[in-house]
Amino acid sequence: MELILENISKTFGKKQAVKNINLILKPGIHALLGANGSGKTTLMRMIVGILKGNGSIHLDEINVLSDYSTYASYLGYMPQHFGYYPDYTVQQFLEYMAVVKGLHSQYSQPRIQALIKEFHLEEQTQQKLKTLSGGMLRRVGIIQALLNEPKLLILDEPTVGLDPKERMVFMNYIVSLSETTIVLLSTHIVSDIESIADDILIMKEGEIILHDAYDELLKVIKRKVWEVRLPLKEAKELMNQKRVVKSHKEKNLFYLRVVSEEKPHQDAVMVNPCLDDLYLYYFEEEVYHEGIVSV
Amino acid sequence: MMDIDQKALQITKEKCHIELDKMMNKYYFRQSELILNYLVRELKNHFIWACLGLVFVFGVMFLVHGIEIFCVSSYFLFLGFIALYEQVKNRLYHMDELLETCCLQSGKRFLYKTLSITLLQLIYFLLIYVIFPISQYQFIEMILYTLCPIYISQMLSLYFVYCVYHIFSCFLVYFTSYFVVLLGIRVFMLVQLMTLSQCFMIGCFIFMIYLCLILYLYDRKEKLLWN
Repeated sequence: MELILENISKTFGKKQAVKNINLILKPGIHALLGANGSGKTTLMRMIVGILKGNGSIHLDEINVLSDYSTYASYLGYMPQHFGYYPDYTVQQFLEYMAVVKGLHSQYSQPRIQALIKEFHLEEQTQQKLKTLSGGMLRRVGIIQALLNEPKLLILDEPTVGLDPKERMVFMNYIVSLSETTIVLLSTHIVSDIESIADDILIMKEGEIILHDAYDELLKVIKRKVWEVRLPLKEAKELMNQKRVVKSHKEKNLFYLRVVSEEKPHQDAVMVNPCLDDLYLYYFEEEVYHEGIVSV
Repeated sequence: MMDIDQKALQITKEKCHIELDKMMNKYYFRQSELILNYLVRELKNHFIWACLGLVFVFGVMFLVHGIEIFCVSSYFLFLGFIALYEQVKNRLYHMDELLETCCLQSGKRFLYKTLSITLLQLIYFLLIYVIFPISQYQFIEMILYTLCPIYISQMLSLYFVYCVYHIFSCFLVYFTSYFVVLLGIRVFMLVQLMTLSQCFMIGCFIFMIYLCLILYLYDRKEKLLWN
């Protein structure tokens, strides 16, 4: 199957949230990376068919607008803000979602049990949703998205609130689907995707500015990433002048990881780039604005 | 002539059948079965509350005489309230976005749910009428104090659900309109002014408008996207 996006754009008032996106996605894991307000959620909502804009979206021959029932039968979606009925138990909620998805109980019952086991929620099946922790709720949200064995799985920030073990279980499961399913997931947690994504889409101001495999993307900042350890005063000066990805204190010195065209300091050592470096390279202003890097 | 490998063709045919069986087992083959299953899950709590209310109303009516109309009217006010809650609960619990991407979309869910609730309200009305034999005058009174306000206030509040963002303002619209209609019937002494056939015709007219509004809102929801 192929997901085809042709000339997709969306405007809210005067603001253009998504600008003329053309994309073809095949089975595999596609990670959507971008700062807050870059248009990720809008694009995902358009792909799942709840936001209408310009352009056309097809899953093979199935058009999202003209044949939504068929489209929805191939779709699994987990929104950024996962809503739920607080008084439903996990089992009741999943059964309800299965019915709304049109799934027969003959099929959905064993499927629910298998997914509950896969995501380690066996002990919570009879617990009300309002009593679950954030991580458990997130897992329930992921399970509902997987109920119909979707061919197109859209996950908006799925790992928010999951602990490292839960993240690992989730990622392993997603990898196991990637042979047959188009998985599009957005995240802020760069480390989640660098090991599993087949390709990465970087979105900025409503546009996909980069779309390539992980290794290919890193070529953009090859020979531009440096590490250096400096005293506080020098470290502060360097931080004012250059893009610093990481910083922490090591005894009397400050460790800095810098993205720079030229050698930022005489003691700086060139290192291999990672996705965090690339992210900062493109979203310097947003990262500083959010206060991620500080001394 | 093309040389077709019959063995390969047979294997393809068998695989197609396996895939077809899988698909048929996966989804509801009959739409009615799906709708019934959906309604049972969706309206289970509504039904339980309505039945408990009915038992309570019967209990009070048996014990205290002379307040039948007040009891029945209060019960219908409660019925309309739980019906409205069913309509807004997805918005209340932020389930809209999730449910919008399912096969049973909001338009269809709204239609099935609202029609079922309307039917149930009629059944409750008939149950009360059957269990409590009443005079022609009381029957007119019952129609005017139950079915008329509930359908009018539901109409207004349902329309407001899609115009007003704040859910609680819809409940306010519901209660206010219910009391205004009741007050209007009382002040203008409509019970005394009407014959049974006139009352019946007005009841049917309001019911038809209510059904038209349901269909109109269904159509709007089918076309509506989150823009």
